[in-house]
Amino acid sequence: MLSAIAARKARQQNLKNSTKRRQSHHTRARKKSRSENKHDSGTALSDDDSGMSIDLHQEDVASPQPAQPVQRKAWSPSRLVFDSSDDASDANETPLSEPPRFPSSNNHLTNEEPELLSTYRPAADQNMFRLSEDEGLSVGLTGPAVALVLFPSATVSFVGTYRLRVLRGSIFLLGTIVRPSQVVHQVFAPYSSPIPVIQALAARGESSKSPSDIPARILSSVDEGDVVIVLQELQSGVDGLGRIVRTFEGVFDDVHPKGIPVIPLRGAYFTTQAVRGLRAFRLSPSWEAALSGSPFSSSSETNSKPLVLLVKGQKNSGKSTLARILVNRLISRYRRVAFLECDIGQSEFTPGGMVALNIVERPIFGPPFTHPTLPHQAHYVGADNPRSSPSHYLRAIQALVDTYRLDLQYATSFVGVEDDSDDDRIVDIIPLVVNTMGWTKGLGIDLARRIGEMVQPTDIFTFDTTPPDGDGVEPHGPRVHTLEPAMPSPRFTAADHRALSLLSYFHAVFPDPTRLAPLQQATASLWDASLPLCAQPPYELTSHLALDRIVLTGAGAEDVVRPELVRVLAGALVALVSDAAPSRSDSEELYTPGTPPPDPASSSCLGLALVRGVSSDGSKLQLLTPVPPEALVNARVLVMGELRLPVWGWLDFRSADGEQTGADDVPFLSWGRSAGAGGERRRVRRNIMRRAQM
Amino acid sequence: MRLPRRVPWATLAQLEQVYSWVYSQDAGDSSRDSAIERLSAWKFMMPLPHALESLLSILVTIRQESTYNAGVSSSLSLRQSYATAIIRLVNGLVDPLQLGTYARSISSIAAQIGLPAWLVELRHAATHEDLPSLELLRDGVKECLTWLLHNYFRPTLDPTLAHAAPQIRHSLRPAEPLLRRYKGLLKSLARDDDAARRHNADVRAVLRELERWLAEARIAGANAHADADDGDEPREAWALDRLCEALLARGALVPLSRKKRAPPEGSRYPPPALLAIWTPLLENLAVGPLRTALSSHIVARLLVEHNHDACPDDDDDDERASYELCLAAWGAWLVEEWRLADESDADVSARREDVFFQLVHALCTSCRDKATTGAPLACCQPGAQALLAALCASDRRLAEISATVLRRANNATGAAAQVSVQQGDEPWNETDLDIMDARLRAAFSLADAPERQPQEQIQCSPAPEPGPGGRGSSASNKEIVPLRDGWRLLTETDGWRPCPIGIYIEGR
Repeated sequence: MLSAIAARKARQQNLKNSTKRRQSHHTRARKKSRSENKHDSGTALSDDDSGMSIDLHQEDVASPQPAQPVQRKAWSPSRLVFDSSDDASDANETPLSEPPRFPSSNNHLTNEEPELLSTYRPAADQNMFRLSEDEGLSVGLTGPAVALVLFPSATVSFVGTYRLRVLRGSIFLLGTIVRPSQVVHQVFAPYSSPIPVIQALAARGESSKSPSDIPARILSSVDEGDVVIVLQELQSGVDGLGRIVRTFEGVFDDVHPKGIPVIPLRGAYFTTQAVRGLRAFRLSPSWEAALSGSPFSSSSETNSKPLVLLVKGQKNSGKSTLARILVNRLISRYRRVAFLECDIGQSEFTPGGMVALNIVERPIFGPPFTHPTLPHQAHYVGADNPRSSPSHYLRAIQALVDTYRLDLQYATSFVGVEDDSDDDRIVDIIPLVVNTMGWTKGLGIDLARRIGEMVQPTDIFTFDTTPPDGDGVEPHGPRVHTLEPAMPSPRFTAADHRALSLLSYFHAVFPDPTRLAPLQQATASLWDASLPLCAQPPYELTSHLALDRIVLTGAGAEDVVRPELVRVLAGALVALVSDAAPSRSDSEELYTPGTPPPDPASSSCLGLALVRGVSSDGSKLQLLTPVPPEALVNARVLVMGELRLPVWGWLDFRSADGEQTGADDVPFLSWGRSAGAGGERRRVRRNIMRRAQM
Repeated sequence: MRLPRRVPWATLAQLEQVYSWVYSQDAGDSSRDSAIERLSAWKFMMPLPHALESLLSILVTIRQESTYNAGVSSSLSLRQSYATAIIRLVNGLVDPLQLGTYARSISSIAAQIGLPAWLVELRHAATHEDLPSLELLRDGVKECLTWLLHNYFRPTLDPTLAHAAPQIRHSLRPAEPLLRRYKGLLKSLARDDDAARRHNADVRAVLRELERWLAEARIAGANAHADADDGDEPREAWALDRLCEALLARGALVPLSRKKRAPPEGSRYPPPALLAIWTPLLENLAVGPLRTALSSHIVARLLVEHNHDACPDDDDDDERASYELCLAAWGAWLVEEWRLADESDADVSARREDVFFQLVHALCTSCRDKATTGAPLACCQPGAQALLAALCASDRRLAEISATVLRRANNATGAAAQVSVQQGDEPWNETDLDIMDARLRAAFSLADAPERQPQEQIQCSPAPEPGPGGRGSSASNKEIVPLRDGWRLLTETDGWRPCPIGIYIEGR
């Protein structure tokens, strides 16, 4: 975030120095200044050896050209590690030792042509057909659509958001095969993540299940083996998030220069080449090998024990991407898949800070911030890593594992609730995918081992290349699949993603859980980013009526005395928790310092809320939460941890500099630099060297 | 857009209150306890500024002392608390200023930020030696409190004092003596091989000293730059600027003796003797950024020094010309020859174009300026011309551009002199405005083309309508699904209105 701003500043500086230079020169200067920034600051994530370092904000790229690979610098003063901070708290890692890096499958492209993202070339009424509203309805979409006829192995990519249905043949999308069905998938393809490439797989004789779906005028242009998909615009409002978290501004916008064939689809932009830092999603061979392995072959089904797939590895190795693929692949065989999130820094379905158990029914095509979901069950840990409360973290996971084992794995009690005769997927077994945290050192090793013991995986997917120590592979132990780590995203930091995911949550519009069937997935598919948080009408809680307890958890929480609680809560991020523990008697105080967080065995975290205001005596709290009120009926405990609302969420994005109109002084925010020495929070650098180390 | 920082206080008055609890005349045990409670609450809210965090641990230790009973309870835990408070205060102030690759000594950084040396010693003793006595630790903590008062509270509460505060010293020792020492060593090294063996350690020492100097410059730069929030880049740039100034002064990269300056016959680069002396130094320092800084400094100097007023000490035109030519040779060498290990030809040509366009642009404008002011047309920027020629020699395309552009500029000078006179008399013509309008439209249509589409996009995708079960519908269903006891959804009819987060406006 800041590095992007610094880079922009540097560019402006550069421009100032040479205001009247030729236009083409400007381009050069910017590129140059950017690559130099990389050299001397390293903040632009020097793990970037994919070579795609072209500045995305360059407006005047005339022709796509690959940037030179940026040489990694062993050290840079700006590569700091912040200690227990909100915007870079991946302090678990030791920057001294770099993560192992492997040649990637697309590395050879670095110095050559930009990667080709679409081999398909649209030609109206030959292989691309605009469908009228009626035709759209006839193929199961809600309005006008575009049908594409793809020759086998053709690829087509879009940046943006779109709805997708496969009519004939099948496609390979984000590591998963999508077969023809009635299901309309939602695809979110911001260029902040690798772009999904739709690859046509030959329709092997399987004439589409319902050929009547394909309008006749299209059918005449379909050859044997061709694949037919229909696309429709997807208006979700998710692009509005870019106005809030400005680092992600325009990630759903067209990246292409003019003059390429266009497919008429609002909000999705046909993309042929990997320009401007765009990266395509590629499944590397080691991933494909691991994925095509045993857990997905039908032989494993003879074993009636449900599959439990555990994903582990260092941060930035691609755990979350892999877990998503695992879920998507399982969904083609199971009606429902359970997902246990143990990575509380960057969670897949929930905002960070909580361990959560989710039920997934539809494949997920998009990065985590595009599918915030109300969890089946969750427990609030209150930080983006479990360092402050490792045993509470483990208890919370244990509680979720118990829930899975008791209620979900053989979902017998739910069978038959909704019956879809068309669906031949397995209903009565729900497999589990477990994503673990990236803290793989020190205490993290111990925690990871304990999690492994709790979930008892049938398969372990690991990015750790060192062979397991000691006893080797046990005959009846889990199958272990080793994968190469993926390339980390060069442009956005973990803190950026965390901020986006939290604000995506707060602006999401969730479905009303009381109208959903049991176990139905409650994923938001709409975002309302029309108002900043500060302008949204809050709920007002009369604290002694609405709440049983307020709990503070985290280092130093015990030292907050009762009179100071009001101060601490203003602007705090809290979890809304339901607790089966006996409610407070009238004589008891709402807050007692040192109260432990609710026991995960008897409680459940319903969602997060922002305390946007507190009355001076603490009797009234004003809360903002995206969780529908129907789901909050039992929320009688507030838990405040160490998570904080990112600065982006405090700002009013409708004004230029984020300051709110109508308020002279914005509390808790300070523009400009701290004047005194020691006015900044402590910075910890772990990569400093001594002369003697040379 | 500049992002604000989170601070724990809603208004500065709240910080001032903490300040008066701790520092005012009538501050006592109860006000100290209030400060501890407030700071503890803040610390839970967010990571505190280091100064406040240190203050908290000092205050807690002082409170601990008030219950200490000599002879009954052990002094060890009290001494440990004091020691920890001091160690963490010093570390927290010094660590952020470790800006280089290698650790600098704590005492040298402390000296630069005006932290008393004996606190650093106390920190060392408390960490590595016998735990200091209670008396000494008490004094140390007192000193810490005073330091925080002058260096944190006063400047923060009254920003006008910020620059008066004795926080970080602006002074930076000159780099020239170091460069001179280096030069002397390298010269004697070049003279005989024997010296090489003897002086190698010395050379390393000087190079290390130079690095130390750069580290000091970075910290001084932190203060010279009011915008230190931007990270370390401005500091780094500031430090490199100072180094470039020292390097480009006469007597460093450009020797004092005019005979030693001139490039050898047929070469565009500095004499080998000069290169032999200075390349080890340049390569030892941060290479990429230094080269960029150095070449832009050279270009700036070549372009500026043609102005007679700019360097009044420079009365000898020949002297200046030879200085500039030598600079130009260095400039050419930096662009063409000094490559990093991984650099390709494309990098070099990008660099070359960068410098080239700066030069051409400046030369054209100066020609035109001279034409309008009637100054002598003879180009008096031999260095800039030489550098331009050197760059053109490696790239035919640039040579063509420069030939066209400069010829036109030179031709224009003659014409421009006349035109400018004429234009002064020529009456304003109404059609001129139309021409300007047409040009403006043309320019806009160019600028608009790539941007129009995203704008349309914004218009055609209005905020999505809340779907069934969404927040909007739940708001309208408020009557149907009553909220629980103690909950209500405020609206503007209740008197609530949008306001910054943290402000409480009661609903009716």
